[in-house]
Amino acid sequence: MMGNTQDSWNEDKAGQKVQSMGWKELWLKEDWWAIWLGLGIVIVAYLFFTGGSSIKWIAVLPPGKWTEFSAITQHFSEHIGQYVAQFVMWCVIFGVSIRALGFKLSEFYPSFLFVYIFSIIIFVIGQNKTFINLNLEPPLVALLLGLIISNFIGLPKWMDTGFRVEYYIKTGIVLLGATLPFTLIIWAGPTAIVQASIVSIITFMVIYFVGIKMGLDRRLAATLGAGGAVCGVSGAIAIAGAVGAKKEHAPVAITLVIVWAIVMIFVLPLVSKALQLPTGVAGAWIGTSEFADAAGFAAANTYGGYAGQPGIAGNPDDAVKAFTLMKVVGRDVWIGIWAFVMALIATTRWERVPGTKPNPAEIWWRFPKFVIGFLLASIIVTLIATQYGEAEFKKTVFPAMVGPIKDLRTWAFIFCFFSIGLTTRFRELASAGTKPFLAFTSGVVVNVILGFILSTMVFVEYWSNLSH
Amino acid sequence: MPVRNMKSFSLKKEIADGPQVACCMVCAHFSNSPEFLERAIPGLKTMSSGHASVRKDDGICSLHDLYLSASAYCEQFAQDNVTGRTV
Repeated sequence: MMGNTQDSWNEDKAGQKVQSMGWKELWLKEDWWAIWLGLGIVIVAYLFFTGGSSIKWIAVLPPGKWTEFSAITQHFSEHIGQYVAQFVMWCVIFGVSIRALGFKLSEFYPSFLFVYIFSIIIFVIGQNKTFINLNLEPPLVALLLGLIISNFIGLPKWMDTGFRVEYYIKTGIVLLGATLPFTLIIWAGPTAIVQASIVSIITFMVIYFVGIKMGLDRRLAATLGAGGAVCGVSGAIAIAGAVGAKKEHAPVAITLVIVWAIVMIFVLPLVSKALQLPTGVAGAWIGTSEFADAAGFAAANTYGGYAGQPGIAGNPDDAVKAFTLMKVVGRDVWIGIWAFVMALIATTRWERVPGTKPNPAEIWWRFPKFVIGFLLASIIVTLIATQYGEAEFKKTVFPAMVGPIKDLRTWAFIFCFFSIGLTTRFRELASAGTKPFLAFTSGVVVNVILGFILSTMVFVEYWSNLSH
Repeated sequence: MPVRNMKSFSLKKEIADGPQVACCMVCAHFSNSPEFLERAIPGLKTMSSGHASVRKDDGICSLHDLYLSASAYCEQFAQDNVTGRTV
């Protein structure tokens, strides 16, 4: 790899490497951009509110449940200007960050226009009474439509620039913080951590030891375990890096996570509905047993949409709140510690040739920073709320400030759900193999059963009384 | 090849400056840009991202065919003439 060979290799490698970021990640990682965007919207909403106005105008949403198409045409003829303004707003705030992350705006804008127009269509279709009766809430419509487009029609690769699943979901989670009282996080957070920890540790152990028993490489078994137990694709990729996995290990784990996560988006809400679980309980189960944030939010949002149907107790938000507490607070925040511990085991107990001793900074670097934004948004709005009585909050603060933030969050989530479908191209995923599939699936079975028992029996009092 | 000494390890310095040794980060065999990884790892951008914090600076070593931390190192280290820095 020296001389001319080295030169040509270097030419090939140009653009394939980034230097250690340090604090540059404040503007080079999407987690931080999700914080800036989310908190920026919260602050602007508050400034408008204190100025006697509201961002409600720009946070327009298509109408709720409808039967007559004339209601839709009338809505859009009256509000078209607001949709154009909102599209421009998203283009500006996402555009700045997308550029900073290194993407081309000439690719992002047309791609995002596609996402935005289809998101409107998804809202409209998903709120139609016929689709609602078929249990096809907007998240499922978004996912199905995206899957059909990407797998049967196909889109140019450059359009992926606008299909930033993780960026949209992280921005949505920060906005979600503004609608979640910090007192609720304090009250239910410890329960979520206990439940999530029990399930995560047991699921990891099952996948890991079944994998080892089947003769899988320890690094692959650990990567699969993290994908199933901690936080899906992000967990798998973090642990793969921490343990120095083979290049093909992460793609195998990612394939299994994606396939099972998509199955669970449909299965968990429908089984929960068949069992008539309260929204908070179903949200906790989804938070324990789904594998990725984006997929889990799709499932929890779907179940929230079933609230009020015969036998489904709780309000729509409880499903998302319980899911968030379980997944984000209970599971995601521990990824750095999982990575550090696994790196420590890999370098001290396993035989690994390349590598250094892991250091505690790993915990900070791998921490999903958007959680900080989620917590800050919750604290900010909770502090604002303390200045008002409950009745006054519901009458003035919520409709003028928190409600519009919630509506913008709904948009961010739909962008995400549609993008999941658009980026899930099954033929491009790596082949997983029988043994990894069986090891991972054994963890899925244990995870789902254990998550169900803990959510619906052991901690049911917490999750069914979330709103109180 | 320098080996990290945990006694002299400074969390503050590590967080501020990143790895301080001749490691994968500055090796010619190592690639870790988010765009490259999203192309090289199928499904990464479907439910995660090359730009995510959890990925840290990890990347692919083309010599050993490993996906590993940028602060890892081995005996086959080769200075990267394109993006490498002097260590």
